[in-house]
Amino acid sequence: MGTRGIATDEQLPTLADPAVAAGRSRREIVATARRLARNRMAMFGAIVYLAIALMALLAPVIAPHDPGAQQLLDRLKPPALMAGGSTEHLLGTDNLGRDILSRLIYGARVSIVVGLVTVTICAVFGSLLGAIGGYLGGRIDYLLVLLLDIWMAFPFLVLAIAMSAVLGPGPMNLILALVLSGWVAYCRVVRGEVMSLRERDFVVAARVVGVSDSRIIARHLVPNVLGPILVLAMLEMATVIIAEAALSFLGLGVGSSIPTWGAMLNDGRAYLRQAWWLATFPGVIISVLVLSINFFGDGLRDALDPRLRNR
Amino acid sequence: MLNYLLRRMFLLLPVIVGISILTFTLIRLIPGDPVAIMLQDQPHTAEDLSRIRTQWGLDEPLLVQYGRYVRQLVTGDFGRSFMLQQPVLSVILDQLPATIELAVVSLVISLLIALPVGVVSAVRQYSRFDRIGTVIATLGISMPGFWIGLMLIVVFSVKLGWLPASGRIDYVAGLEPITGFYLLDSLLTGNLSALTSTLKHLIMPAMVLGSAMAALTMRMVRSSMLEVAKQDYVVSARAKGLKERAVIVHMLRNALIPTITVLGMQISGLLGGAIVIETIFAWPGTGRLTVQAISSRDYFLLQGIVFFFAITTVFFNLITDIVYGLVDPRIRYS
Repeated sequence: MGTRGIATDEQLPTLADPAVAAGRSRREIVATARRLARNRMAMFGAIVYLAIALMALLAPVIAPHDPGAQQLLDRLKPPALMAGGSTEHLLGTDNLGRDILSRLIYGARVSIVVGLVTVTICAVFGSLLGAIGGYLGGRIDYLLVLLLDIWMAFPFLVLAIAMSAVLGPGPMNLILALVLSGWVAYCRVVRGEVMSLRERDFVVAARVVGVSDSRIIARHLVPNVLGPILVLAMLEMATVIIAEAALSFLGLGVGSSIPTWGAMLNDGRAYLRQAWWLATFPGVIISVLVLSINFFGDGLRDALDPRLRNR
Repeated sequence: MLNYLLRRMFLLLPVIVGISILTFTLIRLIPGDPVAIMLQDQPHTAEDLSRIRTQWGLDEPLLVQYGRYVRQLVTGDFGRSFMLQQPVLSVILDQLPATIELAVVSLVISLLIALPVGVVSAVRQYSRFDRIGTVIATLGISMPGFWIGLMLIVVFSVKLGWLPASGRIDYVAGLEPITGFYLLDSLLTGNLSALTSTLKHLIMPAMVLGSAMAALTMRMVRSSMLEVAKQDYVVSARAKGLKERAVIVHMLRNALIPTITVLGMQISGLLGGAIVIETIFAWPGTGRLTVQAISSRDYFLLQGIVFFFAITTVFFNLITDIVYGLVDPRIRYS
């Protein structure tokens, strides 16, 4: 805590005055949001993402069939538009006669939730570590950099695959494996940002008047690195969703009882000759989701820092 | 330079120790008894379990186990594969040429796409070519490589029947392996049908891995070309009437410097991507070996592969740093 009786950051004029800072940052947020709203690609991305998220949320209402219900007499039915297809199963059925459309709708749940949860935990955990190392410097920072160097020696997907193989299937283990593999990126970025912010006037001023380290990190540093964290989080969400699909594809994901797009691709792999649609639709929807996130992420980056536009 | 190298190697020591701790911890994270899990598909008795546990040293204190692990690693002993009953390192090295061959061809493909597209996009910034190129690059990083692989198989193997869906070479090509790199071997032995067969097997997996890399490299080439375009020497080169083509060559040489870092970083992505892509195309490399190790619960093999991949990444990062200095005279090793 800050040294009582002398001054706290609330009493500082202008530079660290929360009211002034809040006014400025509110103006900045509005300006950023305006720039973002004018970016058509970014808005398109946001709408598509929200539509898929809504589909995941409303899966029990909108899915035409139970995603696990097997109709063995209706195995490998083609999509409705093809010869032999029916409107009963718009995107056809898989090798066990399960409705592909319904499985796609339910599969969105895993991708959306795993993406959001993993990215949030990684961002909070990685950023905190990075902020602490970057701000404190010295031996703690040396250890952090060593830890980062060690972790970065492991390719993300290799580590995620090995971790999930060892931990076993299940939603919690999957997220744990992805978090343990993915936190480094945030830590690196935030550490770098904080190191450069540490010497800026407003941080020095706060330190001089005796504001505690934890308060400086929380009130002055974190708000200033939120932009880069958000942009990184968007990029990472795309990576995590593809990684989750890859893990499920290899049979390492949330487990066989829950429909996922990656597992559907794996099911379809054995039927590429007879039923190409099995492996086609899950890939299309993964690509659409990831593309929407990338469009939004690019727009967000441009909106936060207009100088980077189209670079 | 030698001084710098030695210092870098010395600084790598704690990283390598850290890597060994992490890989050692990895298989100790297994919930339950790893030996029981490894043996779960085979008939066994409680005596078998304890005998194997003793044999692998799993009943000793962790520190003793780690000490032995490090001693083994130093002598190049990565342990024994449970599935293949062979030394882990020799299993990895057996499969390595296939992965290296795939990686090198993918890298070449990615550069063949990324360099021209990146340069033209930057030179004609905001043109239709630039816009389409950027959208395709975003598409390229958004589509999962393993799905593109499956779709290529549907089109080129199943529907058209032009390309083989799996393996490295047809047996009938009768190639006598010398180096283990089939492209090289077929050239060395003058075996034309082996060369064609190898190329046919390589093209799809290499395209998938290469195009994913190309998207990132292309973005990097484009943005560093745009960065370089503002430099004084480019302006003066134009001012003194140098042909545009010559100016671009000038620019490219400097724009390639940051691109090298991206290429170095992609080695790690390539190793991860290879696991899934090799599995799809039944490519007999280290990536598919990883999946086989996992599905047969051969944890010692998995541990060895992960350690090997990490050391490879560290090695390539070092190479990237050195090359970076060689091509950029502004960087001095002091």
